[in-house]
Amino acid sequence: MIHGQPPRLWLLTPTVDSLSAVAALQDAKPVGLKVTNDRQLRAIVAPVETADPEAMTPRVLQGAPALRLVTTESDLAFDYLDVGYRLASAKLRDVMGLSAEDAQLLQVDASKCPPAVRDKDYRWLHLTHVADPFDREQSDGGYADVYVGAPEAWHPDAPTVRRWRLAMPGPGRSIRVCWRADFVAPAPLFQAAGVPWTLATDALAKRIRAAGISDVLLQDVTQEVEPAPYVIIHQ
Amino acid sequence: MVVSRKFALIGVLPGRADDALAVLDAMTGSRTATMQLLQGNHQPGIGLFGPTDMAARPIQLAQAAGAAAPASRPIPRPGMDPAARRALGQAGGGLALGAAAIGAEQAMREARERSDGETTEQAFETFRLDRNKLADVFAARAYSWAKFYGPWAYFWYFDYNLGWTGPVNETFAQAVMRHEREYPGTLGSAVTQSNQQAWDVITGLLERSSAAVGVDQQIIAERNRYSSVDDALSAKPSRYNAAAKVPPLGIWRIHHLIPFAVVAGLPVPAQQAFVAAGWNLDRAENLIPLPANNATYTGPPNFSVLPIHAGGHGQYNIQVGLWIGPIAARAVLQSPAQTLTDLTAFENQLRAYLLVRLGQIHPRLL
Repeated sequence: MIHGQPPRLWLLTPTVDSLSAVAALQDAKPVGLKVTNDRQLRAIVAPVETADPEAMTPRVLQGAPALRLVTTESDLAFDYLDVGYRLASAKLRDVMGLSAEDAQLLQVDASKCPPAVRDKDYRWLHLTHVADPFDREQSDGGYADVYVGAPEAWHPDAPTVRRWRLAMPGPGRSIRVCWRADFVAPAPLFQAAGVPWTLATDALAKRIRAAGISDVLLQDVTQEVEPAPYVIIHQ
Repeated sequence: MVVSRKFALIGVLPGRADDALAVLDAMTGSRTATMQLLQGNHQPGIGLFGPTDMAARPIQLAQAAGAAAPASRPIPRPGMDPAARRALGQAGGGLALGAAAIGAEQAMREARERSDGETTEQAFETFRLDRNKLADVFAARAYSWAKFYGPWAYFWYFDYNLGWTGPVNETFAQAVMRHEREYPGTLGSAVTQSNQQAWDVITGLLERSSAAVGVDQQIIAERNRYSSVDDALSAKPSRYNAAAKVPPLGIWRIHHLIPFAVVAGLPVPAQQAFVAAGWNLDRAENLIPLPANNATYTGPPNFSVLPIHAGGHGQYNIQVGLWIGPIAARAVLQSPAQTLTDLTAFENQLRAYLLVRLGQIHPRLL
């Protein structure tokens, strides 16, 4: 990726270890980790997540019940994990210091989890802010006709809207991403429009690293790097 | 490219790296005792890579007993462990260090106890290595290391595409094995001592292996799936891998946007209408490479955009099956051109949905 001169932003994801651990539990027989009310939550999340990407208004989940997490793994001690829903521990939340205006931190019912998991006091982190930090004219991307309704309501003749989207990553294909120099993040943590990225401001990234949180992977996606195509910063 | 020591050691598990030294420790009673024996014990043609100052004195292990000069053959000492003495009496190389000694038999027992012991065992059979020769034992274990732990050691180096399976992985493992057989202790020096020179050797083997395979990408091995209706609706890796122009970075798996299983479940007339429209399952428009593991998903160029395709995707198939119903229904009633338009639009829609993962932001395609 080649970048412009933007404010520094960090792609925030779970670590590979965290992803691997969760996947192993989800694939285990019997299943070792499950969100038991996943279907109910998806019905609430889906319309919000598939909303018009041009609508930069905050995406607030209304009426979401507590996420019911069940796991048999007492060593599931990650501060940040993605079970299909982002879970952040109390420690991570303290470090991030997100306000109610910054993001939704929804209840997680971990009563059927081992004590070590309950002690993590997870909350479901839902990003409410969507923002477009990209210089569309300079970045690899384009306009496509997209359907913006509920997935279950799609049919071949469903109306579409024309929306901009960053180019799909292609293995071996470097995507040019240019950032708006005048971009101001709406919150310390937000969703990028046009690509499913969770982006953190530099200040938030520094706080996470300074606290020694090892379960969050922060990748600097706004600085040009040579010759390796990326820089991965470990805490 | 020089492998940074910091990155090269990521994923190497402590304890497993101390193969040879751990075996000696069991005989001497402690690492301290082992080091005392190693230091200063330098016999021509016999020795082992050891830690610290021994790195500067790499010495060959004894090779086949028949080929070794008598002076290089270890001499049993009084008070030696009887099992070790018997081991040294067997054909092949051995190692004498003061009052302790290690033979191939001991090292083999150690190898079998490890979790990758099965692969080590298979290496003996596959490559006709001699369990009685210590150098061959080291070579077999090096093969096993390269298969299982090599990908971790080169975890962040996507340029090498050393996956957990595939031609590069196998070629590299064999190259490391052959080198270890020729220069026993190279791997141990790299892994236990962080010896950069040894790591450079290992990395050089990886680079040559990648080049030798002739591809700089990893493709997850797939099987053919045959349509009973028309070959155009079959899924053939040889066909779709070429169509999709698979990738140079990371490990990817080709995903059919409209899956084979979904099409195969449609009424035959609908399938025939798809074929009549000129559509085929393996066409480039119906394909997209998806990250096949967590590392490829997380790092560049994907940067967690497209979901992981690590196995089956039953939920995705169900959803696509629901959506394709109206397309299939009207395919038998309309012109082939209209059907092709429908299918092309559907492929594009599915491509877009991979970004939002059908409304569920999950790292994996389920």
